[in-house]
Amino acid sequence: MMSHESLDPRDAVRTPDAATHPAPAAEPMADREVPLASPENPALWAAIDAETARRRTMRAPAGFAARVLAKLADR
Amino acid sequence: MRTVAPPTVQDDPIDADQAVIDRVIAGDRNAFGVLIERYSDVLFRHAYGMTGSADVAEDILQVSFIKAFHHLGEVRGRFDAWVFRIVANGCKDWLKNIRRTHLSYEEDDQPSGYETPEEELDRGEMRRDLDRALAALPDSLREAFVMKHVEGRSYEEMADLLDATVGALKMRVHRAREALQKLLEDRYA
Repeated sequence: MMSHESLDPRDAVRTPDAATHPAPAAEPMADREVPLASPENPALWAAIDAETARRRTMRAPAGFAARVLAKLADR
Repeated sequence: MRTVAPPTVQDDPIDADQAVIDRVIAGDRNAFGVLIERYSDVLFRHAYGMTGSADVAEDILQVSFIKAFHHLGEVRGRFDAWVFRIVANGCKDWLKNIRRTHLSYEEDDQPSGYETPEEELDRGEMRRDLDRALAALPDSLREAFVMKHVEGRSYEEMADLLDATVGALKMRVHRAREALQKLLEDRYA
């Protein structure tokens, strides 16, 4: 059986048919999350968001810098 | 007419860090405290997110800053990115070792910030649940989730720090969120 593959070198640079080869989706906005495959559980994510928000305010223990400097002075 | 002062070296955080590094290398050891104060909070959040323990996070930070002090002359470019990598590697090493022995998570002693004891109780439960669920994730997914949702970094910043593409990091955060939802949804239905 004959191959239907074109031997015309110009075909190599032809753009694909837009109907059968749609262009890849545009890159989503830089910080947008990829949606979850399963439906989001709002109660769960509200709880997770509250906890991650708390952690965003966490600070290194008081006096940490002084302790590191003291260790360096000991050496 | 008002004139705007030209930007000084100190206006650029990278140059400001470099100025401090130069002082430390010249012999002003206490100037290193400026760099510790500048970056310890965000690095502590990272180490806590990765290890689930405030004590371990402090130990990792302490060792990392001491290592950074002794290698300050090797900093090329951003100090914050350089010291982040030291801390991130310290966390990964700790995780490798702890998995060989046992996994133990403890209460953190940070102020809770909740209004009522009931709220504190509910949130305390979520704190433990989230720590356990994060501990169940592969390190790369946990790292991406913590950097995005606990440290509040942009994907571009994460890509810069982790030497990965924005697309790959989005996928890691996505997979982390899917895994967390699976692990926790029964308890929060």
